Amino acid sequence: MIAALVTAQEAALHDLPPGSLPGAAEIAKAKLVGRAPLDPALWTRDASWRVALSRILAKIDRAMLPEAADVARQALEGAPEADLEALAGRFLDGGVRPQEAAQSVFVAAALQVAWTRMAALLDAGDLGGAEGDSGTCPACGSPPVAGLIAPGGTKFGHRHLHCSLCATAWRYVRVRCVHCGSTEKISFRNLAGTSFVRAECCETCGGYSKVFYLESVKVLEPLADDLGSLGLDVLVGEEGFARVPNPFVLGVMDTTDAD
Amino acid sequence: MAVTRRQFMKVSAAGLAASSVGALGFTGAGEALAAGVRPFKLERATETRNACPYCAVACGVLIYTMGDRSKNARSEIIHIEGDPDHPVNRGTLCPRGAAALDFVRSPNRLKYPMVRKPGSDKFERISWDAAMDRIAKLMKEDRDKNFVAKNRDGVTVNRWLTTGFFGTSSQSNEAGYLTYKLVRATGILGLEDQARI
Repeated sequence: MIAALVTAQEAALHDLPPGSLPGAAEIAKAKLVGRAPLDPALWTRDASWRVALSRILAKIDRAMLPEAADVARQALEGAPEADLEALAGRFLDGGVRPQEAAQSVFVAAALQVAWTRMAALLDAGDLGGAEGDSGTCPACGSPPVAGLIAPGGTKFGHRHLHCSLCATAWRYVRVRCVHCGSTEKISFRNLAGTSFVRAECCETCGGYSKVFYLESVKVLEPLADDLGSLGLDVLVGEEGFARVPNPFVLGVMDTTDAD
Repeated sequence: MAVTRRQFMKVSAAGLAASSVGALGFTGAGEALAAGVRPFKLERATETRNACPYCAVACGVLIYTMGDRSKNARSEIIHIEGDPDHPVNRGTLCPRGAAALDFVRSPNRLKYPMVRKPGSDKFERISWDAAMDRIAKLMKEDRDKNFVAKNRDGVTVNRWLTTGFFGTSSQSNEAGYLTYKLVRATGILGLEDQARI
């Protein structure tokens, strides 16, 4: 189903109206308050994400959807604009209600498309955060979905975090907690026999994030492989560590305090 | 209870069933996943930052260890590589630094003070206290015998030429300063302290 969803996302991204972008004044303002220029709390989204949503809902391969997913799809197709905006608002900044968990996946997918489009058009110099130092996305302030360690070239061994919303990748120092920035008590967990993905656990804040080693597998996609390695999350969760959710696995979890 | 995308959550089989995974109709996916990973053991590892011990460039290294050192479990160093985030070497290492793992594991590695007494052909292990006492005693003997306060022309020189001193490459500026002060205060001229670049 995720394959069908991302195929629809790609089709939706093609020819998507670029949407309105923050101008120099907005970017300067965001820098002043230390926020990313496309932070959903600062930047008011336009209607382009709903264009992406309607395209995704229309184009997705329905043969790949379980019944409950298709019910959610149909509900979204008939939903009025205001409801969609409210859903998007709850996904971006507030709480997604349990009964909305299925619909929120499609909404998340559409918002990803719109934000990816905007982030791609942003000038690199306008991004927030010091290089290597920010645990949240320099373009939109979202938490990262996972980190990838580069296999070679001039970026050999660097970790790049990948944004869960706008697909921006940025460098972050390795062996350092993504959530609290601590370098004190970091340890790694991996399934015996697999070396390409490890959970970087921080005992200071009790959080963890996944690190993928491209050297071992060559082909990886942070969002999809994060979902593909949920088994690791189950075992790491049993050890008491918590993470920020993958945007496609939102819902009622055993939540701890917000970070 | 609502969930935000910035909130910490613990992933569990039951939690997955109640999340969008279950809501989308993938019922049983959480349990199946949990059952699937059950046979796998969770391995612990650490990556530790350190400085290469060889020369004064003091390249940053990442030391990979199996086992969780924070839990006091038995651990073993499995790999050493350059630290990509270190501003000096940016992930690179020279051949010696790249072979540092063999240095750690070498059977010839010096782990405690040893002494080869005059006339003997063997090194014997001694305690740190004994080593310190012996070094201090021999240094004092030698200095008392060979210290030169004035040269032939009667100029004060205060030098001690019969003993030399090796410092280390991987010490901080502060430790390098102390080494210099100590050694120069005794009058030793032959100081080799790599922390000088």
